Amino acid sequence: MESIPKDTKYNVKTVVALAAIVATVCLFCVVLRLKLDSLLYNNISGQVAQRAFVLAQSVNARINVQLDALSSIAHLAENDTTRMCDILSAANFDEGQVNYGIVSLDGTLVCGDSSVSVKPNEFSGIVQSFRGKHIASYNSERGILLSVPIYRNGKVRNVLYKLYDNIHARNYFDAGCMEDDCYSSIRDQDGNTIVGFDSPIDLSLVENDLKKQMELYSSSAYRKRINGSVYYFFMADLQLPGLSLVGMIPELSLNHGVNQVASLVLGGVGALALLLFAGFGVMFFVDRRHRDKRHRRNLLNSPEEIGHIKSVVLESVGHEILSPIGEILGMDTIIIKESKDPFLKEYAQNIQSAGQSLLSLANSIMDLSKMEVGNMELYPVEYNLFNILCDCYKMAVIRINEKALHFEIEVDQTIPSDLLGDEVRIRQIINNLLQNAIKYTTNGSIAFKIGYERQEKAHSDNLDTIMLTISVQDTGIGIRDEEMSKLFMAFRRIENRSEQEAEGTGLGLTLVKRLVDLMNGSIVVDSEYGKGSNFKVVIPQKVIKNEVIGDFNKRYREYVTASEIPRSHFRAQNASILAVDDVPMNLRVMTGLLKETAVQVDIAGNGMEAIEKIKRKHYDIIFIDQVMPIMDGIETRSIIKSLADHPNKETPIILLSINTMSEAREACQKANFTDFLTKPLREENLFAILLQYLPAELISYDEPEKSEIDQNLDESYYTQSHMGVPLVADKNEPSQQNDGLESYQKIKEIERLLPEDLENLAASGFVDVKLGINCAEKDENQYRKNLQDYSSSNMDALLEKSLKEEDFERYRLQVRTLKKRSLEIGGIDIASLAKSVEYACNTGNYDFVRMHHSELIREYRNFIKVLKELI
Amino acid sequence: MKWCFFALGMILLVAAIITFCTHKDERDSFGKRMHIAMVMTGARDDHSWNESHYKAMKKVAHKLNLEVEYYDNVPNDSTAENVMELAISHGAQVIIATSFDFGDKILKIATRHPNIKFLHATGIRTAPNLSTFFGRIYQMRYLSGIVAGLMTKNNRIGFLAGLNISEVNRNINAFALGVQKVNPEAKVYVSWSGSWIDELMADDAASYLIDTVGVDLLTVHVDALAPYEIAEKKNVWIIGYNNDNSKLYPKRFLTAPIWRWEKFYETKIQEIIHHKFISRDYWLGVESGAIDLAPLSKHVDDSIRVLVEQERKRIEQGIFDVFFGPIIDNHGMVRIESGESMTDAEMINHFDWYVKGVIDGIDSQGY
Repeated sequence: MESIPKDTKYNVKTVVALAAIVATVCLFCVVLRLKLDSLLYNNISGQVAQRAFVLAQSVNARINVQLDALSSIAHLAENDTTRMCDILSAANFDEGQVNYGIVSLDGTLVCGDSSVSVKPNEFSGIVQSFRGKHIASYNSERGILLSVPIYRNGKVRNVLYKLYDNIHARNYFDAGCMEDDCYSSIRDQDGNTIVGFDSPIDLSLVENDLKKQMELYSSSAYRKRINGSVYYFFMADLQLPGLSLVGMIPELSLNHGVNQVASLVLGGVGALALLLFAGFGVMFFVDRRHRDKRHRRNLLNSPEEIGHIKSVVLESVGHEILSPIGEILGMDTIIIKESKDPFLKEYAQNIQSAGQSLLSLANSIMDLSKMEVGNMELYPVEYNLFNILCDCYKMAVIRINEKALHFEIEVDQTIPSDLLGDEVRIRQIINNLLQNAIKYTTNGSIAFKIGYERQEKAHSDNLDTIMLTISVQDTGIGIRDEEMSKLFMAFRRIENRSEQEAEGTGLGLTLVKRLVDLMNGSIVVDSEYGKGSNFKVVIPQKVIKNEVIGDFNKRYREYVTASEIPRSHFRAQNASILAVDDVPMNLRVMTGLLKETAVQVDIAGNGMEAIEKIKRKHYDIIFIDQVMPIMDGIETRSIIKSLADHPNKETPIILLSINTMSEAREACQKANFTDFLTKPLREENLFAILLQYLPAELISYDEPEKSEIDQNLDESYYTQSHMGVPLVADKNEPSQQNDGLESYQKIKEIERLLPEDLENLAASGFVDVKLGINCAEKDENQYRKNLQDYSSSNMDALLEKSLKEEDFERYRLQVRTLKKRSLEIGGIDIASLAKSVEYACNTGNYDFVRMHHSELIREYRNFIKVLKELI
Repeated sequence: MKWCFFALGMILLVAAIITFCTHKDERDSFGKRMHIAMVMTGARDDHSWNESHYKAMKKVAHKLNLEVEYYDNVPNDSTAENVMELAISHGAQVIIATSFDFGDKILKIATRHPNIKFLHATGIRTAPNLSTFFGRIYQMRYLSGIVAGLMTKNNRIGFLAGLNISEVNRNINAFALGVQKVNPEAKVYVSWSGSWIDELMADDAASYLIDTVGVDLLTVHVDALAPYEIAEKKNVWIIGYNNDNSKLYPKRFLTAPIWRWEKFYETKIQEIIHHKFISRDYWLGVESGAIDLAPLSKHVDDSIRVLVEQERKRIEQGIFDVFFGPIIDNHGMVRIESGESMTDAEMINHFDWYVKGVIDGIDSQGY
């Protein structure tokens, strides 16, 4: 949480939103509380008003009871008007506190206490009763008066009344209260208490509010806080005009859990709100953590970091790829060696070349990755510059021969040849520069120049330093100025270059640039678009010996001549070697490669097995794979070394490593191996090791078994250009390809010895009989047989079928077979036609194929027809 | 973030719903204007009974912000029923009918629409949603009778009565008692027109009293205006009824018992608005303010004024009412003995006799 992201914009927004929500919820709670309160208060007020109404009714009921009682007295008086006053005084006697009286229409008192007599103008009830009403009326000074009419013949003669003075009225009409602590009274319109004690609280404070409500309702209640306590005041109409029942009741005594409703509801809402807040809080923190995480991930995904990861991934991927590529290439080499089918062989060679590309790509990737990660280190060794130049030149020559390019090498003769530096990397630089030049140059020339400048002596050691200058100039397509900057970027090929048929990912130059930088050198590119480029690399190197390199071209020729010998086939039937590898495929590759040398190969699947074998038997060479489960190569080696007594004390032990050469060399030196070989195994390297370490007496440069090679001859006749290196024929075997004079003589001989039928055939000029016989190993009968076979073939039908099905791959193979077989019998014309069609197939120019198919078929049929006639 | 605002909106919505829902029941009674229909037999501007109701209602409607539909000249047949139904269909919550004649129709409609409140002037039958109301106009008749008794020169006073019912008899008697009180020699000649509003019949009846009987003062208990004109024309004093028409007939107009219905309507309609309606039969006395005597015109002497005020006070104080004994009828029989009072029930239902000094003219009903 410490790393609060700088861009807190979102954060602020969230906080504001949350605050708004919290505020709203609080507001909502307050509103709810107010609303609930007012609802509850209204409800309670309603109840209080109801109660007031009931109280008022009870007062009314009392009045009515009294009125009824009064009526019955009035009734008695009607029946016996003479005893009216007696009846009255009897009633009066019973209740001493009130005054009965009978009044006549003119207002004179007929009976009753004259001191408290009432007048009609004092009480409206009197006149009402004279109209026949039983009624209660009130006078603020006199009190409450109940009056009833006394009839005679349907007319009201007198009015009987009962007067309660204000003091005594309480005894009869005080409604009292249902609760102990409530108060009620009967009051007049001016707020004077008529019936009831004085209020503990000044009711006049609320009287106006109550009255306002009384205009609307027959009973009302009003809630008010007075002196810190809450009271409900109530008022209700009475039957008595001008009087009302007024009272109050403390809220506490009404609190039958009703007030808890508000608390309960609010508590519930509060709990929900808390839950909501908690939810928001959780959301907030989850969101924040999420953002932190994302932020951290963003940090992680900084360009450098990504680059690092990319490099690590690429390196490990490269490593993983190397092993299967090795197996593929190894097995493929064996296929090439052992296959008798020319087609198969060609496919295998395609695989080989593609595999090699893949291998070099993987290596480049690994190297680049290492550099990016920073694992790339230089391993300076003493090396011979001539050897490097020689190897690189040789490789370049092979590739250049595929194109019609002029290649010249110019080496300063005074360069010291024994230098100190990373040999492997220098090879890589030179190879990549040359490869790049060859790749982008279609015609013209490539000039490869090596020079140097002498530097001041380095301060610490006594070695001279020279600036080795390697320059490669081509007449290729060149580089546009604007693309110059992209030149050394990995995985980027200059765009218009990719329009050409260039292959590769453009890693080469990148690698070169990095390597040169690593060596504290510099690279300068000088290019003109469309005309060519010049790459010039300057690398500081230390000089071991000031022995000059001399004339390179001369030495090269000598070298080539010298190296031809070991490249030839050798046999070592009596030699015995042990190969240790956990991957059976690798062992099979090795066995396959060594098959022709007839070396006895013993294999072991792991270190322990190998040690057991080493203990028991003597081997001339032991190959041990570096990476093996349980016990790796290094460990095995040290165990072997520690073995007390075994027959292989002197046996050279070769490390097989999947690593790059420098690494392999390092491992080799550390673990005290005799030498090392890098995987994938290459035939020539393997053989070189064999030749180097096998005792010379075991090697014999005998003629290899001819049968195999002979069978390959017809193929090599066509495909020599594909093979790269021209086969160097055994001296004992006169070659029809290379030894021009001998072949010529043989052809002449054939010409001379042509039988008559073939002579006719030759004379027709329809087929090249000489070529045909040559292809039939100078066997005329074989040639005749070939001719017969050819004339009975039905390639046309097959071709037609393939074309119809649009299966151009099959068509290509068929037309290729046609080409080959035609050429075998000397049908050059049809062969060339077939070849053009085949080429179109190869390049995917199927329109051409369709166009020339009928011509081919026509020619073919025609050819067969003629051939049949001639034979 | 969006759902935060959504939650906010929801909370506000709930708050709004709570606030509105709980206010709803209060809005019903206060938010809407009370809709009232007034159904009258005559024209609303008849300068008489109907106008007294119409004008009062106008005042109250303005004061209480009521919506009132007035239906006047409604014949007393099925039309009245239809008009009331129409008013209810228009949303009337209270129907005020001003004529005694609508009695049976209004009862029928009231039973049919128990939620509608009915106020029936001069009616005698109530229902749970139907109140009747009238005033003790006889008290004002008595006072106007005093005026008449003192103003007459030939002691012949004409009383133009509409229909022979208790109400009219009560007023004739009250008037006659007033006359008798100040001028025992004077006689009150009654002529029956047979209609409240028919001008022609009123004309005939008035002409009969003036031309044939030779009265020098006429009072009316009809809504028609013809008698005023005849009185004006023939120089006969006139005491009106229902409405103060002193400005219309300034020459001969003395006074009139009049109505101040606004006093009644205001309180009763408020009661209805506040659901305090109680079915009653209101008979409003002078103390209610709903009845009054039109100011005595310039033709009346101040001494008369004093006397009238005096009597009025007595009535207001409750120490006197018109039908206090002794009362002798026009056949010399003591109807109410001295010291006796007539009950309301009798006054309303059993006035089929006339006090001394009334020439009832029942025989002249043939006109």
